[in-house]
Amino acid sequence: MTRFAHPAWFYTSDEDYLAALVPFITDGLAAGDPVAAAVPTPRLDLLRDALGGTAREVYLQDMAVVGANPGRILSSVLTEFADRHPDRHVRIVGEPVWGARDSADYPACVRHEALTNLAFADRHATILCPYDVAVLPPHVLADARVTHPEIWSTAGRDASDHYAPDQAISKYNLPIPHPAHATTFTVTTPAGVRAARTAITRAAAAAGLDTAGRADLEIIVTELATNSLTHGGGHCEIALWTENALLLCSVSDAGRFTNPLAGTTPLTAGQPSGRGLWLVHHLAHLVRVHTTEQGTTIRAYLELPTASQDQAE
Amino acid sequence: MHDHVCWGYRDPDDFRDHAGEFLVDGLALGQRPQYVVTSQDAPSALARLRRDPRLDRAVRDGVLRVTAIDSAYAGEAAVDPDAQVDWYVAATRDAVEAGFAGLRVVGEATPLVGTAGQFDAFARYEHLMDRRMPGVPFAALCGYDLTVLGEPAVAQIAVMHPFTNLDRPGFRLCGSSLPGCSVALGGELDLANADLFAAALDRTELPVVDGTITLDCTGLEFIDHRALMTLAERAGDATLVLLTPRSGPARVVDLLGLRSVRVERPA
Repeated sequence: MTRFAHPAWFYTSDEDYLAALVPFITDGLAAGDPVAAAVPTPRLDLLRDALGGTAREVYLQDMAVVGANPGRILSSVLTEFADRHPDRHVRIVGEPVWGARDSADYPACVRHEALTNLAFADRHATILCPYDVAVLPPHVLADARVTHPEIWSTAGRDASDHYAPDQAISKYNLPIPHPAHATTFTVTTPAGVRAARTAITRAAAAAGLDTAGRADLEIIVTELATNSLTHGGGHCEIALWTENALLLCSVSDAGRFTNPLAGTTPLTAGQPSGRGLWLVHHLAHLVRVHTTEQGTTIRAYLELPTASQDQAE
Repeated sequence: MHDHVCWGYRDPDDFRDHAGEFLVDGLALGQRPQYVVTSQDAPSALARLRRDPRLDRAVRDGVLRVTAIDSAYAGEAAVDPDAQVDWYVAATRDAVEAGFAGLRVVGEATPLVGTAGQFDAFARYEHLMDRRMPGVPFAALCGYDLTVLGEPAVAQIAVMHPFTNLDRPGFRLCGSSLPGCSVALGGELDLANADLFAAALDRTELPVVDGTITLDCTGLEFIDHRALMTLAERAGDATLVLLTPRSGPARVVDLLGLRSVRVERPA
């Protein structure tokens, strides 16, 4: 058996979906592989029902929850499960892209799929990613052919002729400038981090972010600015603005993002650094990265409370 | 919070004017005023204080005492932090027995921290004294000459006080009046004061009670994950309990899986 396999499963119906996934799971269990599946509701219910009593043997998670931020999937879903079974070949169903998913998430989803190949290159795992051909647009399926070395469909299992995960990362390494009306703040010294935290949090409160959200934003701003000061050229520009029910905060510096996996793989007890961006991925609803030779921008999205939540407070 | 102030100054007269106000406040509270200064500087300090008629009268009445520090701290001898705390606690008791509400001390402490050994011992004393102050009617204004010591050095001592006129430290590691706590961590901790925080912890023995270190963090407005990990590391085998109403520290502790740290809301 190959050490690592990462096929995409192009399905067109619920029957298709189960026709591949159920045997993938049960064959894995029969072979003694630990098996996990992270798929979005309502697919999760469909899969659980089809598995019947076997479902208890599978680590099932709602991808819409655990994978809400695609930048968290590698560390809290895939690697987390594999690390719990260090000497075993694991099977995982991971469905990070679905029809109703917010289009803003998509570049981060592609990045996640591409990085999976890098993160699992030396591991014993098969990660099967279902793609709903009936609803996903052609460019999404084309991207899946670039991020997956194998494509499975009802027609058979083939190596992808387009497999080139680095190209997918480049393609979605898109500029993420902040709008002109954003509140901005420049940090040039360690003492400036505190001032930025205060100013940004005040602006976020004015934009409607609640107390708990502001506590998260304080951590996000601090960690990103700290990274800029220590690794990113020594200064950064922070921007804050809202788009619909989201609050967006970006931090731009002159640093280069040299390790594409930074912040996306699980932390280890003794690691001396690298926790800051990981924390940002776990606090934010979505994290986008744009990096060039000239600098890096990291943008974190936070959800603003809805009107009904406001009333409950 | 208890009245323990670190005051960095560039002009001794500015400090003495501020000290005069501090002592006048004490007179109104019925506290015994005391001024600690070298015998060389005592005449000019006293002359400045006596510009205020209330302090002039306190000097004439023998209420305001001036203590010369030369004899006790001659040469390079460093204070014994515990003995120094005991001395001031006893002096406070004497003041109360003499009918005062407590003791109020101003110290021109710069000559006491001239060598590295003296500096370190005095910073430890400042911290230990601060931990005793919530339970003792003792107030102190500690003056440090920035032109002699430099602001980075004074900041290392300032963090052992609940109040300071310096902007630099941004945090404090001092006494607490919260039940079950003897140490409070306040202010904001991040990259800017990471080294200062580590140095303060070097000079502090966090009190372990039943295998637990409980810190009053009600005044801790922010702590980044690095400072949190530094703190967890310094707690060693003890469980670290942070009392705070804020959600940030618990978020980071949960996400990083810091098993030896608990974050609780104060009662």
